[in-house]
Amino acid sequence: MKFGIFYEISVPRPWAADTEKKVYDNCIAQAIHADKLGFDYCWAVEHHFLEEYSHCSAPEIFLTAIAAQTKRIRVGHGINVCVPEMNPVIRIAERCAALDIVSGGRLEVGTGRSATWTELGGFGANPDTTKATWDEYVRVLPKMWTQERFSHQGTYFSMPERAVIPKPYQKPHPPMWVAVTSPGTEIDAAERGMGALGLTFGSFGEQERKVKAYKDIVRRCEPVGEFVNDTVAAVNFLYCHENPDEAKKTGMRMVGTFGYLAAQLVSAREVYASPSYASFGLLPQVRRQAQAPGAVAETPPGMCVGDPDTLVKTLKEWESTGIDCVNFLLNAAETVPQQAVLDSLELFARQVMPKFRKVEAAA
Amino acid sequence: MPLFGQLDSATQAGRASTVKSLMTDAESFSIDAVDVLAFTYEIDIQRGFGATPKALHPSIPSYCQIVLRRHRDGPFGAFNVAELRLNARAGTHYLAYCIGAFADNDAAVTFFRDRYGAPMQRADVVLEPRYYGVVGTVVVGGKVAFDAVLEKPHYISGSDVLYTPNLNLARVGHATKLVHQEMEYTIGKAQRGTTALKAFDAAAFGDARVVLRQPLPATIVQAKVTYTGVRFLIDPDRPALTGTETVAA
Repeated sequence: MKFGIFYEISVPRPWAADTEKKVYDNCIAQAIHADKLGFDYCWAVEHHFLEEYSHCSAPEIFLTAIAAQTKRIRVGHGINVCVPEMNPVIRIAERCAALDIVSGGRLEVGTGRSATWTELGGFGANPDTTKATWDEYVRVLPKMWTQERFSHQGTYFSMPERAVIPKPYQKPHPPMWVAVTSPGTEIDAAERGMGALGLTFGSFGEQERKVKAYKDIVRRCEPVGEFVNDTVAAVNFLYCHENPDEAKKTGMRMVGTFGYLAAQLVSAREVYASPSYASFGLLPQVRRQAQAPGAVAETPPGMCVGDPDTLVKTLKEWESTGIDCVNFLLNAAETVPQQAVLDSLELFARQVMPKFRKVEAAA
Repeated sequence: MPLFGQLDSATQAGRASTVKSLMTDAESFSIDAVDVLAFTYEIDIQRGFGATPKALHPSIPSYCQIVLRRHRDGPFGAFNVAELRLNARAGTHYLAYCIGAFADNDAAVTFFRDRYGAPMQRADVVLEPRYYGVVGTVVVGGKVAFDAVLEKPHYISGSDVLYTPNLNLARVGHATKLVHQEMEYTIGKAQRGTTALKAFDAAAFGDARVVLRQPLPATIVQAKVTYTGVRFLIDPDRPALTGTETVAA
């Protein structure tokens, strides 16, 4: 099993002149550390207007900085929002190719369509059509990367014949992924031969069912790209500490803060009645709607918050569901001090990661 | 931490209802075939903060709903209700602070004030399907407080429509509280359309700081609505995470 880190870049109020700079610097330092420790992926989201929750509206810039200061870790542009009002598809192709070049062929391309009215409404996008625009985008992107010249007459996008340049460094093109938030999107990913980049936190049983459905379909898919990426990644939180009580206390503070910030945003589902958005998105499982607002949070099963032995046990359970990779959120609104984040990464790499690398080596 | 509302509850004390006894689950009742017409608007954000109780977080972006419910029958006979709801968060809970409400039936006015602490007043409330859409109007003392039409309706699935509970600022015993008023909806027919707004008087509902900006889709559904027991009370001037008390519904 592979491990990655995953950035929303949440910036707590009050916002002083250097608050965002400090958070960005911390995240970049963590990614450099993770690269040295052997983590496989560093993903960064694309979000807009999500106050405190995510100040990562230009992930390609953030990832370029990381790529320039690391040697091995793969940089995940996850996700490119495939909505014309937010990103013209040509610009996505160009930016990704350039990032793949400067990273020396370490780019993973995530795709998606945004889950919040905060973002879609801000750009004047139509939530009813985002699934369709995403579908058109993911089918033309590989062609833009592999054909010397490209033209297209589509439903949501058309262009005359042009050379979309530069071309990616990886040939034929970087691996493609779909952000899986809404129920059934893992099937959309499988049918198109794209990796499933899980962004919701479900139960073991639910994850196992999704992985099985995905793997069954991806075997006989018609890939939108030149090859199939059949990888399933899940997202989780990470706080690893020798003292289980300290791990739980600090880790759950992070988890709670993340869910708290996510709840302040307006999901598309909340205000725009549409079959296009069946899920709240943004890790709704960590919220506690059924209880009173003051109810005390329990540690949900499967959360990677604990001492190394607990995390090994938890991740073995996740591994048994069939997932190939876990991407970890390391912080939320800087609730975990920077040194503690770095120490957590180091402890995880020293005492947890080898338990999974050995399995791979033996296999 | 996220932004908090800035409304001092003391400034609203004169408008607050007095709860005689909190609604319980044992007394809950359902009404079939209720028409629910909801108009949703993004609002002026900074002014919206001023209208949001300190216990709550404004949503990002701030928005409100004008919701009308037409009950063809019920414990008080037929009655119509209209509410101005300022959508917000109590901790991680999706809720709406009910700024003002009207009903066209005296018994209904009394019930919602006495049992839920709703800021309910008597007015003419009309929800009426017409050939060109669905009309919602509220007339208070002969003056139009709200007049809008859901136009271009088209069918959607009932599962696509979401409603959140109300919080009513009311006197409960010797304290002022935000009283949780929840309705359960079993939605049958549902339609979505655009909003044609003719009149909106926020002051008539109770707070002129609600300034409508961008309309979002309007919905009309037919649903079975169940009025359930009050589950919790919130101190309006403390963060909901620490200022919430559960009550036996």
